[in-house]
Amino acid sequence: MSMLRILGPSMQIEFERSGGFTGIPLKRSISAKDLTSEEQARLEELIQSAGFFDLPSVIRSTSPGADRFQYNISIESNQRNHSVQIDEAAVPTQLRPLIAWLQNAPKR
Amino acid sequence: MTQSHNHVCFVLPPHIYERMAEKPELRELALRAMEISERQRGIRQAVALLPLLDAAGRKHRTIFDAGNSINLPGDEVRDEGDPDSQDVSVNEAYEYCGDTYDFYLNVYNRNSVDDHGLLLKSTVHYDNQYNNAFWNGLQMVYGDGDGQLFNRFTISVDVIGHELTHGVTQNEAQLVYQGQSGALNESMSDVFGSLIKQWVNNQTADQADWLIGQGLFTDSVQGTALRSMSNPGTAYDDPNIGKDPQPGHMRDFVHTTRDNGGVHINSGIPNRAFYLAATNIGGFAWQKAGLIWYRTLTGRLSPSADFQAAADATVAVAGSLFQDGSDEQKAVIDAWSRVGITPRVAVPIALTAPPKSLIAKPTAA
Repeated sequence: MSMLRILGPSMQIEFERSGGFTGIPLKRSISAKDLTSEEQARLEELIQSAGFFDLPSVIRSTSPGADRFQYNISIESNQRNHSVQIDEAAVPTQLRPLIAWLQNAPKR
Repeated sequence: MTQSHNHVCFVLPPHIYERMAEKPELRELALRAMEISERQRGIRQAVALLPLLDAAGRKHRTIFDAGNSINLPGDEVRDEGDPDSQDVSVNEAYEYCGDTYDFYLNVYNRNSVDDHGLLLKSTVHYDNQYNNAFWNGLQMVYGDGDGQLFNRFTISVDVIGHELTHGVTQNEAQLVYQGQSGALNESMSDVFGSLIKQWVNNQTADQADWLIGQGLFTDSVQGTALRSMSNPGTAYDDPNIGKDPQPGHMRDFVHTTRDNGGVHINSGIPNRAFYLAATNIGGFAWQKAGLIWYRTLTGRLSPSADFQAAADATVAVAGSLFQDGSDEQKAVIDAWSRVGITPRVAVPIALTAPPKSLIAKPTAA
């Protein structure tokens, strides 16, 4: 039985970090079927505690500043699809662990 | 219980302290005395703003350590005048911030990012293996890099100069960090970051390498620097991080929603324009080309300025500083033309001949 009780074994995540001083993007594609059951469980936990599917599509920072990152996260699954674009300075605390996990996911 | 009285409190009228504060050597004493007396009267507000300013022409740097957290500013580890730290990042942030301040003061008579002696705060060791440096509107922030692709982000003076220049732009043209105005914002930071590096190394435009962020990549990356102002798109080509995406001409302008509309990508176009103007004019690039760009940034651009507006403004400033038709102005016109922007040059009316039909025929006496 898949650990992804809510999101399903066909879940696909596209993660992109752009901007920053270097302007060099970081992209990761994550397919649930490529993950171990531990990784799947952890990922689902992170998505749930981030409240990802309830986040607005665009979260802009109102603070001045430059050379910060922008994140684009897209999650597709059997049940739900949702995409979010967020400025680094406006990342909600509950979303940070998911971003960290996605950023550090191995390139497959 | 014993009480020790270590302080001598001066209780003088505020205007006396204010006059003392005008003299650099008495400023610290005056500020401390004012703060003590203000506290005694229970009024903190008036003094709260004073620590943000410093006497004209004196830099005040403070370096903080975030200890690999994302809390800002972090712990203070080095203040102006303190000796070198054991921590190379702290020392680099301190030294290169000083170079940037000295450059703006000596070359353009500018006293810190706001031209009013704003305290210069930098935080090092931000976050964990953080491959970035940024300006947050109040201070500079530097990551350590992951050690695999990137070294620490304090490693190069042009990075510090780039970040501090965002503060200058914020206090001047306030170029919106999006699309063409954002790419101009980025370009201004690369232009002055590069000029600071050239100034520190006493290099003419011909001697300069026109590279941004040399030293940031580790040896495992196939690339010399992050950006090339002379040849956008050639700075790196690596199997892991990809190829330098910068265009050097408007025909190659990148339309994207990423990176606030590609502000770090399309900055290649105005970067190249500056490089062309500076090398065409020759000599030390900060003296003429840099002055034109500085005057443009600090007096001729609106927040929504696009590349065309920047071209028009730099040409007008060049005419104002060096005369219309001068070699300097021609170099600026040529530079923008070569990156695909035709500056709109205002021709003074006195220099144009009126059409014959408008010349009144002399009437018989």
